[in-house]
Amino acid sequence: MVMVNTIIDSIKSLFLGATDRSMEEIKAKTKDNFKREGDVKLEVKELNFYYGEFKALKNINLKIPTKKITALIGPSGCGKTTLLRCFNRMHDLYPGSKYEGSIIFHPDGINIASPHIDLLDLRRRVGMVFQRPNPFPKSIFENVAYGLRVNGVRDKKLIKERVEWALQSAALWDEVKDRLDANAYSLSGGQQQRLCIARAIAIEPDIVLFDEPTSALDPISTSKIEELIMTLKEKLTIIIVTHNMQQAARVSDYTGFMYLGELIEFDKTQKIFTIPSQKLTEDYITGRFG
Amino acid sequence: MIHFFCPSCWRGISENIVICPYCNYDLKDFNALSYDDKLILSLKHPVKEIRRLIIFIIGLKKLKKALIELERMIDYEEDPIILMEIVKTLRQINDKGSRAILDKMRSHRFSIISQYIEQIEYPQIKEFYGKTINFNNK
Repeated sequence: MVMVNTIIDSIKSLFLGATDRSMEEIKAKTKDNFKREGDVKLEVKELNFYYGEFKALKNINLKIPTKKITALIGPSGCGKTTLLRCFNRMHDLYPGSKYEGSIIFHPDGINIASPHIDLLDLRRRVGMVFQRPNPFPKSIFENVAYGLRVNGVRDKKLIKERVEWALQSAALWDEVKDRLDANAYSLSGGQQQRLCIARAIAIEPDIVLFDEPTSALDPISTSKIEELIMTLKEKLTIIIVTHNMQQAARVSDYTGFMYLGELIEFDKTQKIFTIPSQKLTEDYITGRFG
Repeated sequence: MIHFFCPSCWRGISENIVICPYCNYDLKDFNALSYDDKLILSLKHPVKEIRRLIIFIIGLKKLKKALIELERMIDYEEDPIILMEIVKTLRQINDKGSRAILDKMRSHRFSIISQYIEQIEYPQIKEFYGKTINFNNK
Protein backbone atom coordinates (compact mmCIF):
# COMPACT_ATOMS: atom_id res chain seq x y z
CA MET A 1 0.00 0.00 0.00
CA VAL A 2 2.82 2.38 0.95
CA MET A 3 4.53 1.58 -2.29
CA VAL A 4 1.34 2.28 -4.29
CA ASN A 5 1.01 5.70 -2.57
CA THR A 6 4.64 6.50 -3.32
CA ILE A 7 4.13 5.64 -6.98
CA ILE A 8 0.96 7.78 -7.11
CA ASP A 9 2.86 10.69 -5.47
CA SER A 10 5.68 10.31 -7.98
CA ILE A 11 3.25 10.35 -10.91
CA LYS A 12 1.47 13.41 -9.40
CA SER A 13 4.70 15.34 -8.95
CA LEU A 14 5.78 14.41 -12.46
CA PHE A 15 2.61 15.90 -13.96
CA LEU A 16 1.81 18.65 -11.48
CA GLY A 17 5.28 19.95 -10.68
CA ALA A 18 6.59 21.68 -7.58
CA THR A 19 3.83 24.31 -7.33
CA ASP A 20 1.18 21.73 -6.52
CA ARG A 21 2.74 20.55 -3.30
CA SER A 22 0.84 21.16 -0.09
CA MET A 23 1.29 24.55 1.55
CA GLU A 24 2.75 22.90 4.67
CA GLU A 25 5.31 21.15 2.55
CA ILE A 26 6.25 24.39 0.79
CA LYS A 27 6.45 26.32 4.06
CA ALA A 28 8.62 23.63 5.64
CA LYS A 29 10.88 23.61 2.62
CA THR A 30 10.94 27.40 2.63
CA LYS A 31 12.29 27.47 6.17
CA ASP A 32 14.94 24.93 5.24
CA ASN A 33 15.88 26.92 2.16
CA PHE A 34 16.19 30.11 4.13
CA LYS A 35 18.45 28.43 6.62
CA ARG A 36 20.50 26.88 3.88
CA GLU A 37 20.62 29.73 1.40
CA GLY A 38 20.79 32.73 3.75
CA ASP A 39 19.72 35.80 1.79
CA VAL A 40 19.51 34.33 -1.69
CA LYS A 41 16.41 35.42 -3.63
CA LEU A 42 16.84 33.46 -6.84
CA GLU A 43 18.92 30.35 -7.27
CA VAL A 44 19.62 29.35 -10.84
CA LYS A 45 20.71 25.74 -11.21
CA GLU A 46 22.05 24.18 -14.41
CA LEU A 47 19.79 26.38 -16.52
CA ASN A 48 19.72 25.85 -20.28
CA PHE A 49 17.38 27.85 -22.45
CA TYR A 50 16.51 27.27 -26.11
CA TYR A 51 14.94 29.46 -28.78
CA GLY A 52 13.70 26.58 -30.93
CA GLU A 53 16.86 24.60 -31.72
CA PHE A 54 19.22 27.38 -30.70
CA LYS A 55 20.71 27.00 -27.23
CA ALA A 56 20.89 30.57 -25.94
CA LEU A 57 21.85 29.84 -22.31
CA LYS A 58 24.29 27.11 -21.37
CA ASN A 59 24.41 25.58 -17.91
CA ILE A 60 23.92 28.77 -15.90
CA ASN A 61 24.47 28.48 -12.15
CA LEU A 62 23.90 31.64 -10.17
CA LYS A 63 22.62 32.93 -6.83
CA ILE A 64 20.93 36.34 -6.85
CA PRO A 65 21.18 37.97 -3.41
CA THR A 66 18.12 39.48 -1.71
CA LYS A 67 17.77 43.28 -1.63
CA LYS A 68 20.93 43.86 -3.60
CA ILE A 69 21.52 45.12 -7.12
CA THR A 70 22.87 42.48 -9.46
CA ALA A 71 24.13 43.60 -12.87
CA LEU A 72 24.50 41.39 -15.93
CA ILE A 73 27.09 42.57 -18.44
CA GLY A 74 28.54 41.18 -21.65
CA PRO A 75 28.75 41.86 -25.38
CA SER A 76 25.64 41.91 -27.59
CA GLY A 77 24.11 38.49 -28.05
CA CYS A 78 25.79 36.97 -24.98
CA GLY A 79 22.45 36.02 -23.40
CA LYS A 80 22.11 38.57 -20.61
CA THR A 81 18.64 39.74 -21.65
CA THR A 82 17.63 36.14 -22.34
CA LEU A 83 18.61 35.23 -18.77
CA LEU A 84 16.79 38.26 -17.36
CA ARG A 85 13.63 37.31 -19.23
CA CYS A 86 13.76 33.80 -17.78
CA PHE A 87 13.19 35.28 -14.33
CA ASN A 88 9.62 36.31 -15.12
CA ARG A 89 9.11 33.87 -18.01
CA MET A 90 8.74 36.57 -20.65
CA HIS A 91 9.88 34.04 -23.24
CA ASP A 92 6.58 32.20 -22.84
CA LEU A 93 4.97 34.94 -24.92
CA TYR A 94 6.80 33.48 -27.95
CA PRO A 95 6.39 29.90 -29.19
CA GLY A 96 9.29 27.44 -29.34
CA SER A 97 11.12 28.44 -26.16
CA LYS A 98 12.28 25.68 -23.81
CA TYR A 99 13.77 25.66 -20.30
CA GLU A 100 15.96 22.99 -18.73
CA GLY A 101 17.18 23.14 -15.15
CA SER A 102 15.64 25.24 -12.41
CA ILE A 103 15.28 28.76 -11.07
CA ILE A 104 14.28 28.54 -7.43
CA PHE A 105 12.44 31.51 -6.00
CA HIS A 106 13.28 31.88 -2.32
CA PRO A 107 11.92 31.77 0.31
CA ASP A 108 8.93 29.98 -1.28
CA GLY A 109 11.06 27.35 -2.96
CA ILE A 110 9.02 27.60 -6.18
CA ASN A 111 10.72 26.62 -9.42
CA ILE A 112 10.13 29.48 -11.87
CA ALA A 113 11.19 27.28 -14.78
CA SER A 114 8.46 24.74 -14.04
CA PRO A 115 5.78 24.55 -16.77
CA HIS A 116 3.09 24.43 -14.07
CA ILE A 117 3.78 27.79 -12.49
CA ASP A 118 1.10 30.51 -12.30
CA LEU A 119 2.56 33.12 -14.67
CA LEU A 120 0.23 35.89 -13.54
CA ASP A 121 1.31 35.41 -9.94
CA LEU A 122 4.97 35.18 -10.98
CA ARG A 123 4.81 38.46 -12.89
CA ARG A 124 3.10 40.11 -9.95
CA ARG A 125 6.10 39.14 -7.85
CA VAL A 126 8.74 39.79 -10.50
CA GLY A 127 8.17 43.15 -12.18
CA MET A 128 9.99 44.43 -15.23
CA VAL A 129 11.11 47.78 -16.61
CA PHE A 130 12.08 47.86 -20.28
CA GLN A 131 14.65 49.68 -22.37
CA ARG A 132 12.18 52.24 -23.68
CA PRO A 133 9.51 53.71 -21.42
CA ASN A 134 6.16 52.12 -22.29
CA PRO A 135 3.40 53.83 -20.32
CA PHE A 136 -0.20 52.93 -21.11
CA PRO A 137 -2.24 55.53 -23.05
CA LYS A 138 -3.93 56.54 -19.82
CA SER A 139 -3.52 59.19 -17.14
CA ILE A 140 -0.48 59.24 -14.85
CA PHE A 141 -2.67 58.05 -11.96
CA GLU A 142 -4.26 55.24 -13.96
CA ASN A 143 -0.89 53.96 -15.15
CA VAL A 144 0.15 53.27 -11.57
CA ALA A 145 -3.29 52.17 -10.37
CA TYR A 146 -3.68 49.68 -13.24
CA GLY A 147 -1.63 46.89 -11.69
CA LEU A 148 -3.43 47.26 -8.37
CA ARG A 149 -6.84 46.98 -10.07
CA VAL A 150 -5.72 43.96 -12.11
CA ASN A 151 -4.71 42.37 -8.82
CA GLY A 152 -8.16 42.87 -7.37
CA VAL A 153 -7.68 45.99 -5.25
CA ARG A 154 -11.01 47.88 -5.30
CA ASP A 155 -10.69 50.19 -2.29
CA LYS A 156 -10.33 53.67 -3.82
CA LYS A 157 -8.62 55.11 -0.74
CA LEU A 158 -6.11 52.28 -0.71
CA ILE A 159 -5.44 52.68 -4.44
CA LYS A 160 -4.85 56.42 -3.95
CA GLU A 161 -2.43 55.75 -1.10
CA ARG A 162 -0.55 53.09 -3.07
CA VAL A 163 -0.28 55.32 -6.15
CA GLU A 164 1.13 58.16 -4.06
CA TRP A 165 3.57 55.80 -2.33
CA ALA A 166 4.75 54.34 -5.65
CA LEU A 167 5.20 57.76 -7.25
CA GLN A 168 7.11 58.98 -4.21
CA SER A 169 9.28 55.86 -4.22
CA ALA A 170 9.97 56.46 -7.91
CA ALA A 171 11.00 60.07 -7.14
CA LEU A 172 8.26 61.39 -9.40
CA TRP A 173 5.58 62.55 -6.98
CA ASP A 174 6.77 66.14 -6.62
CA GLU A 175 6.81 66.58 -10.39
CA VAL A 176 3.34 65.14 -11.08
CA LYS A 177 1.25 65.54 -7.92
CA ASP A 178 -0.64 68.51 -9.44
CA ARG A 179 -1.40 66.79 -12.73
CA LEU A 180 -2.19 63.18 -11.94
CA ASP A 181 -5.02 63.24 -14.50
CA ALA A 182 -2.73 64.33 -17.34
CA ASN A 183 -1.92 61.81 -20.04
CA ALA A 184 1.25 59.83 -19.29
CA TYR A 185 2.56 60.70 -22.75
CA SER A 186 2.77 64.35 -21.70
CA LEU A 187 5.74 63.44 -19.48
CA SER A 188 9.36 63.60 -20.65
CA GLY A 189 11.19 60.35 -21.51
CA GLY A 190 12.94 60.23 -18.13
CA GLN A 191 9.68 60.93 -16.29
CA GLN A 192 7.89 58.25 -18.32
CA GLN A 193 10.57 55.73 -17.34
CA ARG A 194 10.18 56.67 -13.66
CA LEU A 195 6.40 56.29 -14.13
CA CYS A 196 7.03 52.76 -15.46
CA ILE A 197 9.14 52.06 -12.38
CA ALA A 198 6.31 53.39 -10.18
CA ARG A 199 3.89 51.12 -12.05
CA ALA A 200 6.19 48.15 -11.50
CA ILE A 201 6.66 48.74 -7.77
CA ALA A 202 3.06 49.75 -6.96
CA ILE A 203 2.05 46.11 -6.51
CA GLU A 204 5.06 45.54 -4.22
CA PRO A 205 6.91 42.86 -6.16
CA ASP A 206 9.83 41.00 -4.60
CA ILE A 207 12.08 41.53 -7.59
CA VAL A 208 12.27 44.15 -10.33
CA LEU A 209 14.10 43.37 -13.57
CA PHE A 210 15.61 46.30 -15.44
CA ASP A 211 16.49 45.71 -19.09
CA GLU A 212 18.85 48.55 -20.06
CA PRO A 213 16.57 51.09 -18.39
CA THR A 214 18.61 54.17 -19.26
CA SER A 215 19.86 53.42 -22.76
CA ALA A 216 17.18 55.65 -24.32
CA LEU A 217 17.58 58.49 -21.83
CA ASP A 218 19.64 61.68 -21.58
CA PRO A 219 22.44 61.95 -18.96
CA ILE A 220 20.40 63.81 -16.34
CA SER A 221 17.49 61.35 -16.54
CA THR A 222 20.03 58.50 -16.44
CA SER A 223 21.49 59.93 -13.27
CA LYS A 224 18.03 60.18 -11.66
CA ILE A 225 17.12 56.60 -12.59
CA GLU A 226 20.45 55.32 -11.23
CA GLU A 227 19.87 57.13 -7.93
CA LEU A 228 16.36 55.71 -7.83
CA ILE A 229 17.56 52.15 -8.45
CA MET A 230 20.06 52.48 -5.61
CA THR A 231 17.28 53.69 -3.29
CA LEU A 232 14.91 50.90 -4.31
CA LYS A 233 17.29 48.16 -3.24
CA GLU A 234 16.28 48.84 0.37
CA LYS A 235 12.86 47.46 -0.54
CA LEU A 236 13.47 45.09 -3.46
CA THR A 237 15.85 42.74 -5.14
CA ILE A 238 17.03 44.31 -8.38
CA ILE A 239 18.55 42.70 -11.46
CA ILE A 240 19.78 45.01 -14.18
CA VAL A 241 21.05 44.31 -17.67
CA THR A 242 23.28 47.06 -18.98
CA HIS A 243 25.64 47.70 -21.86
CA ASN A 244 27.15 50.52 -19.87
CA MET A 245 29.86 48.89 -17.78
CA GLN A 246 30.46 52.02 -15.78
CA GLN A 247 26.79 52.04 -14.84
CA ALA A 248 27.16 48.47 -13.59
CA ALA A 249 30.27 49.49 -11.64
CA ARG A 250 28.50 52.53 -10.18
CA VAL A 251 25.17 51.07 -9.10
CA SER A 252 25.46 47.33 -8.57
CA ASP A 253 26.59 45.21 -5.63
CA TYR A 254 27.17 42.06 -7.69
CA THR A 255 28.03 41.62 -11.35
CA GLY A 256 27.82 38.66 -13.69
CA PHE A 257 29.80 38.66 -16.93
CA MET A 258 28.26 36.60 -19.74
CA TYR A 259 29.76 35.48 -23.03
CA LEU A 260 28.20 33.31 -25.75
CA GLY A 261 25.39 32.11 -23.51
CA GLU A 262 27.63 31.19 -20.58
CA LEU A 263 28.11 32.90 -17.24
CA ILE A 264 31.86 33.38 -17.20
CA GLU A 265 32.23 35.09 -13.85
CA PHE A 266 29.96 36.24 -11.03
CA ASP A 267 31.21 38.12 -8.00
CA LYS A 268 31.05 41.34 -6.03
CA THR A 269 31.10 44.25 -8.47
CA GLN A 270 34.21 45.83 -6.98
CA LYS A 271 36.09 42.56 -7.46
CA ILE A 272 34.86 41.96 -11.02
CA PHE A 273 36.16 45.36 -12.11
CA THR A 274 39.36 45.59 -10.06
CA ILE A 275 40.62 41.99 -9.91
CA PRO A 276 38.62 39.80 -12.29
CA SER A 277 39.54 36.14 -12.04
CA GLN A 278 38.88 35.21 -15.68
CA LYS A 279 40.96 36.33 -18.66
CA LEU A 280 37.78 36.74 -20.74
CA THR A 281 36.40 39.18 -18.17
CA GLU A 282 39.69 41.13 -18.21
CA ASP A 283 39.64 41.32 -21.99
CA TYR A 284 36.02 42.45 -22.11
CA ILE A 285 36.49 45.16 -19.48
CA THR A 286 39.63 46.46 -21.17
CA GLY A 287 37.84 46.67 -24.53
CA ARG A 288 39.72 43.90 -26.36
CA PHE A 289 36.32 42.80 -27.70
CA GLY A 290 32.80 44.08 -27.49
CA MET B 1 27.97 40.36 -33.38
CA ILE B 2 31.20 40.51 -31.38
CA HIS B 3 34.08 42.67 -32.63
CA PHE B 4 37.72 42.15 -31.67
CA PHE B 5 40.35 44.87 -31.55
CA CYS B 6 44.13 44.92 -31.63
CA PRO B 7 45.12 46.16 -28.14
CA SER B 8 47.99 48.18 -29.62
CA CYS B 9 46.58 50.07 -32.63
CA TRP B 10 42.90 49.37 -31.69
CA ARG B 11 41.87 48.51 -35.24
CA GLY B 12 39.28 45.79 -35.80
CA ILE B 13 40.85 42.34 -36.30
CA SER B 14 39.63 38.74 -36.37
CA GLU B 15 39.34 36.82 -33.12
CA ASN B 16 42.09 34.28 -33.76
CA ILE B 17 44.76 36.52 -35.27
CA VAL B 18 48.13 36.22 -33.46
CA ILE B 19 50.00 39.11 -35.12
CA CYS B 20 48.08 42.30 -35.89
CA PRO B 21 48.11 42.80 -39.70
CA TYR B 22 48.10 46.60 -39.25
CA CYS B 23 50.78 47.22 -36.59
CA ASN B 24 52.51 43.81 -36.25
CA TYR B 25 51.72 43.70 -32.52
CA ASP B 26 52.13 40.17 -31.17
CA LEU B 27 48.95 39.35 -29.26
CA LYS B 28 50.83 36.77 -27.20
CA ASP B 29 52.52 39.78 -25.57
CA PHE B 30 49.11 41.16 -24.63
CA ASN B 31 47.98 37.86 -23.14
CA ALA B 32 51.09 37.84 -20.95
CA LEU B 33 50.32 41.29 -19.49
CA SER B 34 48.95 41.77 -15.99
CA TYR B 35 45.42 43.19 -15.64
CA ASP B 36 46.88 46.50 -14.42
CA ASP B 37 49.03 46.78 -17.55
CA LYS B 38 46.04 45.91 -19.75
CA LEU B 39 44.13 48.73 -18.07
CA ILE B 40 46.93 51.20 -18.80
CA LEU B 41 47.10 50.06 -22.43
CA SER B 42 43.33 50.57 -22.74
CA LEU B 43 43.61 54.24 -21.86
CA LYS B 44 44.19 54.66 -25.61
CA HIS B 45 41.02 52.78 -26.55
CA PRO B 46 39.14 54.60 -29.36
CA VAL B 47 35.74 54.16 -27.64
CA LYS B 48 35.40 56.95 -25.12
CA GLU B 49 33.05 54.96 -22.86
CA ILE B 50 35.80 52.35 -22.48
CA ARG B 51 38.44 55.01 -21.74
CA ARG B 52 36.15 56.52 -19.14
CA LEU B 53 35.49 53.14 -17.53
CA ILE B 54 39.21 52.37 -17.41
CA ILE B 55 39.98 55.70 -15.72
CA PHE B 56 37.18 54.95 -13.25
CA ILE B 57 38.67 51.52 -12.47
CA ILE B 58 42.16 53.03 -12.10
CA GLY B 59 40.63 55.30 -9.46
CA LEU B 60 39.00 52.34 -7.67
CA LYS B 61 42.34 50.53 -7.66
CA LYS B 62 44.32 53.69 -6.81
CA LEU B 63 46.69 52.52 -9.51
CA LYS B 64 49.71 54.81 -9.20
CA LYS B 65 51.41 53.00 -12.06
CA ALA B 66 48.88 54.64 -14.42
CA LEU B 67 49.82 58.22 -13.47
CA ILE B 68 52.37 58.61 -16.28
CA GLU B 69 49.78 57.73 -18.94
CA LEU B 70 47.08 59.84 -17.25
CA GLU B 71 49.45 62.83 -17.32
CA ARG B 72 50.02 62.26 -21.05
CA MET B 73 46.28 62.05 -21.59
CA ILE B 74 45.58 65.51 -20.22
CA ASP B 75 47.58 66.93 -23.15
CA TYR B 76 45.95 64.99 -25.98
CA GLU B 77 42.49 64.06 -24.69
CA GLU B 78 39.82 66.20 -26.34
CA ASP B 79 36.76 65.03 -24.43
CA PRO B 80 36.01 67.15 -21.31
CA ILE B 81 33.99 64.31 -19.76
CA ILE B 82 37.04 62.04 -19.90
CA LEU B 83 39.19 64.82 -18.46
CA MET B 84 36.74 65.26 -15.59
CA GLU B 85 36.94 61.51 -14.94
CA ILE B 86 40.73 61.87 -14.78
CA VAL B 87 40.33 64.65 -12.18
CA LYS B 88 38.13 62.37 -10.05
CA THR B 89 40.60 59.50 -10.36
CA LEU B 90 43.58 61.70 -9.46
CA ARG B 91 41.73 62.82 -6.35
CA GLN B 92 41.06 59.18 -5.46
CA ILE B 93 44.72 58.22 -5.87
CA ASN B 94 45.61 61.30 -3.81
CA ASP B 95 49.38 61.01 -3.53
CA LYS B 96 52.20 63.44 -4.32
CA GLY B 97 52.27 62.46 -8.00
CA SER B 98 48.52 62.72 -8.55
CA ARG B 99 48.34 66.07 -6.71
CA ALA B 100 51.10 67.41 -8.98
CA ILE B 101 49.08 66.42 -12.08
CA LEU B 102 45.97 68.01 -10.60
CA ASP B 103 47.93 71.24 -10.08
CA LYS B 104 49.01 71.10 -13.70
CA MET B 105 45.38 70.64 -14.78
CA ARG B 106 44.36 73.85 -13.01
CA SER B 107 45.68 75.72 -16.03
CA HIS B 108 44.21 73.30 -18.58
CA ARG B 109 43.44 74.64 -22.06
CA PHE B 110 39.75 73.84 -21.48
CA SER B 111 38.52 76.42 -18.99
CA ILE B 112 35.70 74.08 -17.93
CA ILE B 113 38.32 71.68 -16.55
CA SER B 114 40.07 74.30 -14.45
CA GLN B 115 36.65 75.51 -13.22
CA TYR B 116 35.67 71.93 -12.42
CA ILE B 117 38.81 71.42 -10.34
CA GLU B 118 38.18 74.68 -8.50
CA GLN B 119 34.62 73.63 -7.81
CA ILE B 120 35.39 70.20 -6.39
CA GLU B 121 38.65 71.15 -4.65
CA TYR B 122 37.42 74.45 -3.22
CA PRO B 123 33.60 74.27 -3.02
CA GLN B 124 33.60 77.26 -0.62
CA ILE B 125 34.92 79.48 -3.46
CA LYS B 126 31.98 78.46 -5.63
CA GLU B 127 29.58 79.36 -2.84
CA PHE B 128 31.29 82.75 -2.37
CA TYR B 129 30.97 83.69 -6.03
CA GLY B 130 27.57 82.03 -6.32
CA LYS B 131 28.47 80.53 -9.70
CA THR B 132 26.47 77.66 -11.09
CA ILE B 133 28.18 75.39 -13.56
CA ASN B 134 26.48 72.31 -14.92
CA PHE B 135 28.95 69.51 -14.34
CA ASN B 136 26.58 66.66 -14.92
CA ASN B 137 28.68 64.38 -17.02
CA LYS B 138 26.92 61.05 -17.18
